[in-house]
Amino acid sequence: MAEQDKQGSQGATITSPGGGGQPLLATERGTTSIDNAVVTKVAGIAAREVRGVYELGGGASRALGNVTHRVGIGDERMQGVSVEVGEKEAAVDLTIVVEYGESIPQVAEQIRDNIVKRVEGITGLTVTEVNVTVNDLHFPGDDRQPPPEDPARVA
Amino acid sequence: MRIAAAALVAALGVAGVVRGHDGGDGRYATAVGEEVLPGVVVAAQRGGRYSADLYLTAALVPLRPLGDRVREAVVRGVGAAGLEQALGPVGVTFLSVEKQVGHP
Repeated sequence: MAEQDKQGSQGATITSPGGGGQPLLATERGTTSIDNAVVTKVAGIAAREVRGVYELGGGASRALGNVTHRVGIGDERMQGVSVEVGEKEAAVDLTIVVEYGESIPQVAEQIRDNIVKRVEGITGLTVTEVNVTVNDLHFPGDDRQPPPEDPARVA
Repeated sequence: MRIAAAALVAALGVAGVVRGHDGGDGRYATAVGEEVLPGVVVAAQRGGRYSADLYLTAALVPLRPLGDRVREAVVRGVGAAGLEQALGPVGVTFLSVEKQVGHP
């Protein structure tokens, strides 16, 4: 039973839940909090919605993200995104891989616009900055599977 | 715990709420007999009241107004179960969001 004895009033007190939640709205009847993970995930989803973004994350983060996602403990929508969240504002840093042939300045600008729109619309936080690092370019041929090895000529 | 069950049922009935979130390790859950209710924790308060804290996964919708709607629904739901006098503050925490199929 997870019931806890929390003596003392929490009526309109602004509290921060464990795990990095941020207090946002306190009313007479209780508080509403939004965890930092929500801001991270919204920013990741918003970035992926932009044409020209192939993937999020640096090489190591992508490799780790693939492993953790495969074993069911990670969320690829959060890789390559870090956020700093205050009472009313948030700053977002993200690392991306851009499709070869896309204009990096344009992609970065569209990412900024979309993240600001989504994060502000969903969480009510003001996004003060979105810093985009382009870590790599993706070429269409990069996805091609390596040819199967020649079968052994001798048993 | 009747308050926990009523609060969770009410919260899950609000459009935009996807499911209760147990925190990943079960820390935000309440056991009622053999059943476990993920995403709700009820705690004793002074004066014989109980706070109800909901931990939720939501759709990609504005979360502040959703939090208000969840709180109102919980108050209504717990009241309908005849337990309104025992209900203290209602906390709503969004721990995750999910893109729903068919939503922009």
